[in-house]
Amino acid sequence: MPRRILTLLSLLAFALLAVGPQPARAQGSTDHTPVIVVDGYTLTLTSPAEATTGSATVSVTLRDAHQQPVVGAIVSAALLAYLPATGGHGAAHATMPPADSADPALATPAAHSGDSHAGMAGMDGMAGMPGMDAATSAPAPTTDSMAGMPEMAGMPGMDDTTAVPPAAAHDHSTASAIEGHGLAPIPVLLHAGDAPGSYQGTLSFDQPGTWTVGVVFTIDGQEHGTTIDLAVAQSRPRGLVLGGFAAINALAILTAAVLRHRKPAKPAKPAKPAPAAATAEEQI
Amino acid sequence: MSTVTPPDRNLLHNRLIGGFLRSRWYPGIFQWVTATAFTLIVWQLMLGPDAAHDNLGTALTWVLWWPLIPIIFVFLGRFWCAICPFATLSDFVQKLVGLNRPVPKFLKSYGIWIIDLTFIMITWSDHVFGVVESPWGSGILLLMLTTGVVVSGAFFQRRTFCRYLCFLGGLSGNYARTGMIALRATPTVCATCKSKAACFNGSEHAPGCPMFEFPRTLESNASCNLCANCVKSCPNDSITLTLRPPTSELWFVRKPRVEEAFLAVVIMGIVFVQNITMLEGWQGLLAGLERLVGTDNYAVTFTITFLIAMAIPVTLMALTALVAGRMNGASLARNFAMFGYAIIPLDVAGHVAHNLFHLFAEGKAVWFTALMLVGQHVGEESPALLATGVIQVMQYILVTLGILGSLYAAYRIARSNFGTVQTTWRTFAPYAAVIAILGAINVYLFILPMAMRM
Repeated sequence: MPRRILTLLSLLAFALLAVGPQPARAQGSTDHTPVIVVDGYTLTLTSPAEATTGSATVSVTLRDAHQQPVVGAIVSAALLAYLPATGGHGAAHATMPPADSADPALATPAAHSGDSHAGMAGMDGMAGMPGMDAATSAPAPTTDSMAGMPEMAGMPGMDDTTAVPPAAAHDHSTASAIEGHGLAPIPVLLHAGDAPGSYQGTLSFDQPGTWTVGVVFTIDGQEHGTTIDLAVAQSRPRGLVLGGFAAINALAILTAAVLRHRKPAKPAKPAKPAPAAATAEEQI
Repeated sequence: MSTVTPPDRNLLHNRLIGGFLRSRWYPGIFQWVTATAFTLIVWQLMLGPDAAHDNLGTALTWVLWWPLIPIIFVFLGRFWCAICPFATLSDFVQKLVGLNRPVPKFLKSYGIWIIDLTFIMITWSDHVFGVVESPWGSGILLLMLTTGVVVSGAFFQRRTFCRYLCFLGGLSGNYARTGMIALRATPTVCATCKSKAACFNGSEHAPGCPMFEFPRTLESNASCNLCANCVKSCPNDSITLTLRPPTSELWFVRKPRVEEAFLAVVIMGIVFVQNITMLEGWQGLLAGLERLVGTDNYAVTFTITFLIAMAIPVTLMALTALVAGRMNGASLARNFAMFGYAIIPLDVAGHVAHNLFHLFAEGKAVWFTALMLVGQHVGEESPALLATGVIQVMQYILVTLGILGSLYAAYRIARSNFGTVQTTWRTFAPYAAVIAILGAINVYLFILPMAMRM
């Protein structure tokens, strides 16, 4: 019976895996591709569809009001804030790591990649850009919590509360605890991609959770901006761990099989009737 | 204690129950279900959503199974161990390649201490590394246990892992003593047995006892998993399955063991920790502790909390053993070992009461996460099955029953070990006081608002 059970279970496990493992999703993840219309331009986040912690190539496409690709735009992105992925309901905190944190990983969770250029054309104008005074952006929930990101303050689209992940809605109270702190956004220039109207660059996500990515694009000297919420899952060495466990178990089974082949197991000795007080082990 | 049971009390004489337990479907039909669920759980934990409240594996394990398991122990003893997927896996590996080597002596001698330590370490790891809240962490834990089971099944006899190493086995061994169902042999029938201990060694009808128990001398539910192998193998119809009052096994333990009593007392501390860290005021307590010790390293602050929580019941019981020793003349160790078992009803009650919150306040999470598996999202609907007030009333009732069960067990232990009325009451009095204190702490913790697991 157990052998049959295990055989069938193995088939079941295989079938489950064959169906395709669900990609890991972070808390507050959304299934739709973010598409945002800014001043008549359509900005679409085409990748990553399922971001994990670490470096990720961020790719956006820009189309004008006639849905034609916009080429030659100066596009940059920066990480503004994140909502940590936490275990329990009600345990989420709209938290931004303090920029002055002693922990470098926390101090600069938006650690930029090598292709970033702070202060590049168009980027030094992020402060005071049109519409940049709205400060109710998600997930940074309060005006004060924007204090640590002066460069992005007042970005257009920052009042777009439709991007607020559901979990953030009840986190306004906790946000006050970190008021005055924030990320130090370091803009990353997105290079033109292969397809017309596409732009891509590398961002580094140090923490799992929902990250708010600020995107600023300059077209014909006009600057526009918006934010996009991106679900970032914890990167897991799934293949390595599963493979490691499988290898250890296979090794144990193989070793036992080899040893048994060399020296077959002795049949159990029949036990003699034991006195009532004796334990089975004493008897055997 | 083995006693002759009147035939009408023997549940095996019920055609339905006896027939089912003797059939080839038992326990295999349950093993199918649990093994399938286990496969699904591991798949979800390792490859499913990262967030606990999206993960069906987390919901099935920590919202459904973990709260139900102590309740099963109370009603059916270690029945779970008979249908546990790890046991099924162990049997399978053993049949496939098993070397059937004898259990190492150190496991026989110190196995329960290893279980004690493992149980403490797993609880500690859960809090420090977030095992329950992390599907990945839970998955790793299950894979580690799987590896232990495979190695044990490949090299050692029977279910060595279940008997000597499984942390849940240690817990279930203790809790099963309160169980309302008992499998025993009939000594008078066994005395005439000529089958060469078919119940222990197995026969053509069924394998031997997987838990290394000899039904003829079986006195406790602690290591019987009701697999019914002995029922199938016994040629003399000597095995009985009877109902008994809950906790009755605790009233007289022939050979009390310090390590088993220690586990019972430590579990009380672990129940405290589980409650304290889920209280809404925990963060405040933690902040105070951080200021006191000068570090915000959670591993350090939690370890301190954990040690204190475990030390409270252990110290209380040790002090009580010392005081009781002045009344009954027994040593501290003997009193500790004898009366440690009296804490088990309160352990079970506290454990079940704590998990009732998760079961009833988050129960719908099982359904929600199952729906998510097929692409359906339920939005922001509450996962609660019952209102918090109702759950709290159930918790108080359970803890009250636990206190009464522990008090009565302590009284019966005192009475059975110290004959005179005066010594019995003098021994019982300090234990009654400590049980009341531990019960009051439990009640207080259940009054405070608790955070959810999912």
